[in-house]
Amino acid sequence: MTKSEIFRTIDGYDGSEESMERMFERDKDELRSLGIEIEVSGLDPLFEDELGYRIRPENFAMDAKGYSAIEIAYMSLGAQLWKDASLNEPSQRALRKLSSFSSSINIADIPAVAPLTSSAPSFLDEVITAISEKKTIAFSYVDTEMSIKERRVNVYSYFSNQGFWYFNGLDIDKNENRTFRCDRIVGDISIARKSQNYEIPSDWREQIIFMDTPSNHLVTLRIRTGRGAQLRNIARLIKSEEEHDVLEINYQSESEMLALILWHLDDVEVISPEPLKLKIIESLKSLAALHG
Amino acid sequence: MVKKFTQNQVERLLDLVPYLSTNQGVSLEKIASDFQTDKSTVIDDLNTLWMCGLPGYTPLELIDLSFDTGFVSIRNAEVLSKPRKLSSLELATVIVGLSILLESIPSTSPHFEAITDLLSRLATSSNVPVPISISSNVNSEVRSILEQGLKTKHNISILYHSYAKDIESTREIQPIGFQFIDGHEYLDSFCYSSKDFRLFRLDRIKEATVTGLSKNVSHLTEKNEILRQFFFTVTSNSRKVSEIFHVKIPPDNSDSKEFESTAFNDEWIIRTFCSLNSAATLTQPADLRSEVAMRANRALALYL
Repeated sequence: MTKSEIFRTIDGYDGSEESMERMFERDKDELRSLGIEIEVSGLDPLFEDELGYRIRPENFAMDAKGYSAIEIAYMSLGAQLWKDASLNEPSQRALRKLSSFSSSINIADIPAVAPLTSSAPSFLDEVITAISEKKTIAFSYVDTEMSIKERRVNVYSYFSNQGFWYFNGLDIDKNENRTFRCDRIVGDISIARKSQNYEIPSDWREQIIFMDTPSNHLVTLRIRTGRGAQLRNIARLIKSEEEHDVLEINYQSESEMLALILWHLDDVEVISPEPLKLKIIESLKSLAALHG
Repeated sequence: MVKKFTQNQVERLLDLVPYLSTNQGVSLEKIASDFQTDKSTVIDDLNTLWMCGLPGYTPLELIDLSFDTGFVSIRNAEVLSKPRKLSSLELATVIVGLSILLESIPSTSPHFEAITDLLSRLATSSNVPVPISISSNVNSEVRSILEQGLKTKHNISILYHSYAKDIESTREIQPIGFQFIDGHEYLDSFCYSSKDFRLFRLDRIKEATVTGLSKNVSHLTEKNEILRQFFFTVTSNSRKVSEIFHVKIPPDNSDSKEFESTAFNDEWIIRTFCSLNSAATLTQPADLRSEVAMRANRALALYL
């Protein structure tokens, strides 16, 4: 359809040429925000100035052919998890669209409850949008000593671990990759308008996996028999003695390993390395002194 | 006069046609609940749709609706009868939802592979970012057995690691329901071993097996655990301390300011202060405070 046809046949376009143009632009934007793409192309190769507008069905409608009935059901199940959680609204719209496919299958053996959605931050949609549109975000973040600082981040990815939600990416002011726990953000996050503002490193996933490798330090511990399940979960047994087992653990964070050993008090003894052993002795001395 | 639509209404109208085409004869009440609106809005929408059609606008091209009986059917709407594409955000709810589902079903489930495959196709055909990982530390085999026991009303035998006491024990329980507290999943249940109602943290259940059929246990005796109040000061690492004890610590905290919190379990209080490595000091109650010193000295004796 040409623009003049649209102006002629559709009610509501009136006034000056200029105001009709403005209305037309606004209407196109509105359609786009509804997910309807409008294509513009020359109708007649000889007359370049008369442009035609059309909406292709494939740009507008969901193609069900690519997905089987059971897959539509899985998708509904996935969306259902957000009922009354942070992505409630878009999930209900997704469900409505999915329910328009003729066959509905009920999958009884997957429970449609997931507590993880209830701990998702209210701004999860904005984090996802920021990543997919490469927009910088800004927010207030509580640091380890409870001061609140403004952070600006190019978000690369997000994940959930043990009930908490995180995202990571480039902290612009520190110029370093950082991970942020969503519940440590104060208030809302704001998204910059400019899209495609940064690139996500192509090897980002590999970088993350590398960051998670827990294996650069080794500790040998003597643990009382029947105790220390938290440590035993991540340890290799070296030998069993009468009342103890000797185990080895690879770890990454020294402060976390110290905390874990201290938690177990006299059920766990550090055999090696010497520096870690000295730190434990130091910590126990100061604990006893502070609480004496 | 042209009627003004809100964007919401336009979206609803666009989604209504494919919905009605699939669900012919659906009741007005059902539409209202599926579209999260009220019945009068639905009637309003249907009246609007009635006047819609393709250019030409003769009665032949108009969408034909009947809904005066309270049940709605639609004809002449073939062009608009396909559901609209999911927007990025709508697709995100599906993608993150499926990632969460994958984490909670065992990899031996027949659905596991199918969902993995679907998820990767959805991700490659869109620009919606998939979460890097979703992990809850809950054993998915254990979870599926607990769900099975709950659904079929069977007792379950669990191997449980009680965290504060650092002891593993086998208990016979009757599952009652799941709870989510402070980022952790719990199983509410009647524990036959302690003859009382107990909450078990899912990530500390090491093994589970279904045993006999459950008897009726009424949830009459509400648990009445005694909360222990304690006081402490904070010297460093205040964010960690504030997250563990659920207290607000100001950024300009001084070493001498006392904070107050509560816990159910003395052993947990003692071990937590030890693991905090002097970032916080327990000041009261005196018996717990001296217990910390005594236990620290006992551990110290291992090295002397």
